[in-house]
Amino acid sequence: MTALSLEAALARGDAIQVDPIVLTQLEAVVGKRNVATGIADLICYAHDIMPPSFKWVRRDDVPYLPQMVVYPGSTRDVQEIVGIAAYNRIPVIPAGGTSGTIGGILAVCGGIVVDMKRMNKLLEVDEYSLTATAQAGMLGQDYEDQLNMRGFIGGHYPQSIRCSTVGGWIAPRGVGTFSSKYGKIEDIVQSLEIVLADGSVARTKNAPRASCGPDLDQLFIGSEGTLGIITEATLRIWPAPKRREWVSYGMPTFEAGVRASRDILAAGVAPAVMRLYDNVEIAGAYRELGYGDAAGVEHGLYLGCEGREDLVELEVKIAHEVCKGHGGVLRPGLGERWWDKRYDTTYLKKAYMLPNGIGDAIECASIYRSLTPMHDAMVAAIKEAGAAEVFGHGSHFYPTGGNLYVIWSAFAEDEREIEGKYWRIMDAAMKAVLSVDGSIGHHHGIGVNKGPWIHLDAPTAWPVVRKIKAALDPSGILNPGKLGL
Amino acid sequence: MRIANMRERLEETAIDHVYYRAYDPMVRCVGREYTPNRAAQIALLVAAGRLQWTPDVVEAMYWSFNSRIDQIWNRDNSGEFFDIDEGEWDRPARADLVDAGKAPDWVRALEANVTASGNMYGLADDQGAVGRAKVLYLCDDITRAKAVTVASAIKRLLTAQGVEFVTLAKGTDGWGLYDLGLWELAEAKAKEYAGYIREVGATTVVANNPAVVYALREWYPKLGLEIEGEVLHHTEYLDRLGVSGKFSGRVTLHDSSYQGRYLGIFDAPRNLLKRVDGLELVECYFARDKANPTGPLYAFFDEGFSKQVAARRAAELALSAPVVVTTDPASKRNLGAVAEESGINIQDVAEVLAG
Repeated sequence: MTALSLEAALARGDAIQVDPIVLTQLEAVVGKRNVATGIADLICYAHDIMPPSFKWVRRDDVPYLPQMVVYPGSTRDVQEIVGIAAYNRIPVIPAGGTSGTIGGILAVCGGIVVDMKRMNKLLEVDEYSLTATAQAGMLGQDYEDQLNMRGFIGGHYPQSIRCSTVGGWIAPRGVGTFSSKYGKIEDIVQSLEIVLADGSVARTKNAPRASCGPDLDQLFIGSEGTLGIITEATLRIWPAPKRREWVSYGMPTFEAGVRASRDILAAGVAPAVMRLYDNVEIAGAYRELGYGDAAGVEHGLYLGCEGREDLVELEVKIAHEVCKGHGGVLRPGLGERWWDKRYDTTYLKKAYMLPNGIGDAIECASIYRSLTPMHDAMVAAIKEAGAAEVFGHGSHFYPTGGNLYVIWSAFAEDEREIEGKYWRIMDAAMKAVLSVDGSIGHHHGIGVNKGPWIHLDAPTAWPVVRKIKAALDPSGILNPGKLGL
Repeated sequence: MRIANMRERLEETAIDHVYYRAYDPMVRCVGREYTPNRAAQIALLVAAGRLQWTPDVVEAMYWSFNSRIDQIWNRDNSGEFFDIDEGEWDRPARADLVDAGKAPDWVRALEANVTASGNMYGLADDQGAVGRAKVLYLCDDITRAKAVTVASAIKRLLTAQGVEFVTLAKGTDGWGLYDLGLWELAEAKAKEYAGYIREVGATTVVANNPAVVYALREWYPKLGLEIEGEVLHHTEYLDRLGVSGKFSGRVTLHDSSYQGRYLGIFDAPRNLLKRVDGLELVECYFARDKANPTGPLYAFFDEGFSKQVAARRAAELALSAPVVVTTDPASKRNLGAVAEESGINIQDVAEVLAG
C-alpha cells in the first residue's frame, strides 16, 4: 500500500474508496461516525510540525494521505482495529496530538490512521502510591489540569504540553522542561498497556522496580508505534510543590556552564529546570533585562528549584556556590523570563512563514565531555551548510551528561530550493553529532526526520532493534517508515 | 471567492503550531483533529483550486464555534505574532459557501425558517416593543426559545427596581446568521432589528444575550447601523442598579465566550453574585477568559458533538459547586441539555437575583 496523493484521493471521489469489507468491519467495531474516509478528515493527518511539512502547506501540497482514519474508544477497539489491519496487511499509524516534529504520523505507506484522542480519560489517581493511570489519547495539559485539581502534578511539561497526548509523550521517548528533578518520560512511566501487531494486548507490571527479566516498558517507550500501540499508561505523580525559586547566572564560557551543571547534580542537588544558553541565543534576553554590556559575551545558566521550602532553600544555596565557583556572574531575571515565555515558538514560526525560509531546533545528547565539542561542531557544520543563524542551548542535564538544542534558520534564493537546503543542513548536523559520538536524538524521536541516520547512531546495536521489529511485527504493518524501520 | 483574498491569513493559521489544542473544544471534548489550523489548510486548498466544496470539505468550515478560546491560549505561544481568530476567515468561507449554493442543509433550513418566521427559532409569538421608553430590554430569539425563565427574571428585577422599560421580543439581531455565512439575510435582519430598536428611542438598551450586545456594539457600526443609547449586557445594567438578592449555598460562574472573551465583561456578574446574601461564589478551575466553551452559540452540524462539549464543561463546573450560574442563554441551553446527567443546577444570574 502507498500513500495517497491529493490528486489520487480526489480521483477516487469525495469519499475515498477503500476496501469495502475492511471499511464495514471497522465501522462495526467503532461505529460509523468513528471511521472517516472523507478528504477533509484525511488532510488533518497529512502533516505534523516537522519543518518541511510547513512548506508543503505553503505550496498547497498534501503528499501523504492515509486511506482512512479510525477513532477508537477503548483498548478493545484498538485490538480489533489492529486485528483487521493485520489480517489485511494494511499499515496502521497511531496518532495523538499530531504535534510531533519528526513526521511520526505521516502515512508514508498509506494505511489507517488510528487517532487515539477519544481515549482521553484519567482512569485512576492512586494518591497513596503516587501514580496516575491515563488513556493514551488524553491531552497532556488536560492530564496535568486534572492532577492539579487534586493537588498533584505530573512533572512532565514539554513545550508541547497543550497539544500533545500522554501516548505521544511516550511514543518518541519525550521529555519535559522540568526533567532534571522529575525525569524524562522513561523515568516517569511505571507501567504500560500496549496492543501488539497481532491484536493481542500486553500489560506490564505496575511496580516501582522489578527483577523479572528485561524491562518491557523501556522496549515500547520510544518505539514510535512501530512495535505496538500504547493504549494506557501508569505514570508517577508528585504532590504540588510549595515553592519555586530561580537562580540565574552569566557564565564566562559555555563549558563553564556545562561544568557548573555537572557539579550541581554531582552535589546531589536536583533543580527541576536546568538550562544553559550560548552567548548568541541568550543575547536578546540580556538586552531585554538590561544586561546589554554583557550581551553576546556571557552564556546564560539558570536553574529552577522547586519542592519543599527548606529543600529549595538548600538547593538554591548550593547552586549559587557552584555557579560562582565556575566564574558565574549573578544575572537575576533570566529564569523568570524563560518561565513567562516558555511556550513561545515565534522564532521558528517567523522563518516558516517566509516563502523561502525554514529552520529547526535539532536536539541531541551526549556525555559531559562531549557536550561543548558537540555544540561547537554542530554550530560550525550548520553554518557551513548554509544556515543564516545558529545558536543553541542545553535544557536537560543528568548526572553523566545532557542534551543540546541547536536552533537554526536558513533561507534560499529560490523557494523550490528550501527543502533541499533543509535536508543538507540536517545531514551536516547529524554528522557533526556523530563525529563526537553524540546521540542524534534526545526526546523528539526519529520518525522520518532522522530515519536516514539512525543506523549510524549505535551501529552495532541497531540490528537488535530490527530483529525485535521482525519478531513483534512480522508483516511490518505498525507505523512503517518510522524509526528507520 | 472571499477566501481567495485571505491567503496570508489562512497560511499563518494553517502552519500554526496549534499549542491551543488542549483547549480547543473539538479536540478536547470530541477527540477530533478539527482545529482552526486544519480547517485553514483545507480552505487554502479550496482557494487554490485544489479542492472543491464537497460535503465533508463544507462541514470543515463549520468545525469551529468561534469561541475565541484558541486565540486566548495561542497568545501564550506567539504573542500577537500569530493572532488566531478563526472567525476572521471561517465566516467569509461560510459566506462563500452560501453564495456558491453549497451551504449545508441545516444552514439552508435555518435560512428558510428565518425567512418564514422572522427569527432563528421559528417563534410565532413575535412581539414588538410598544411605545417609547428610556430603557429597552431586548429579549432575543434564543432567550425566547430556550431560556424564557431568564427573561421573566429580568423583567421582575427591572420592575422591582422601578425601571420603566419596554421589551422587544421580535425578529433577530442577525449576528447568528452572519456567523453561519448567511450574510445577505443577516444584514437585512440587522437593519430590521435596528429599526425596531430606534422606534423605542431608549437611552439604555439592555440584552441578556451577550452575542446581541456584541453585535450591536461591534458589528452594527460596521454595517452603518448606529444604535442610539448605551448598549449593556444585563449583568452590567443590574450591577449598575445595585441589584442584590438572597440565596442559600455555593455556586460557580461560567463565563460565556461572548460575555467574557468577546466583550471582556468579567466583573459585573461577580459583583452581582457577591451582593447576594447567603451565596458563596467558588471560582472554577477555568474561569474568566480561560473559561472553556459549553458548545455552539446558535447551531451546529452535529448535535452529538455539541453535547460532548457541554458535558465536559459541566463536569469541570460540577467540581466547584452544584449550582452553575450562567450569563448567556446559549450557555444555559447547552449546559441545560446535560444538567441532569452532570448533577448540576443551571441558573442565569438574573434568576439567582430574582429568587
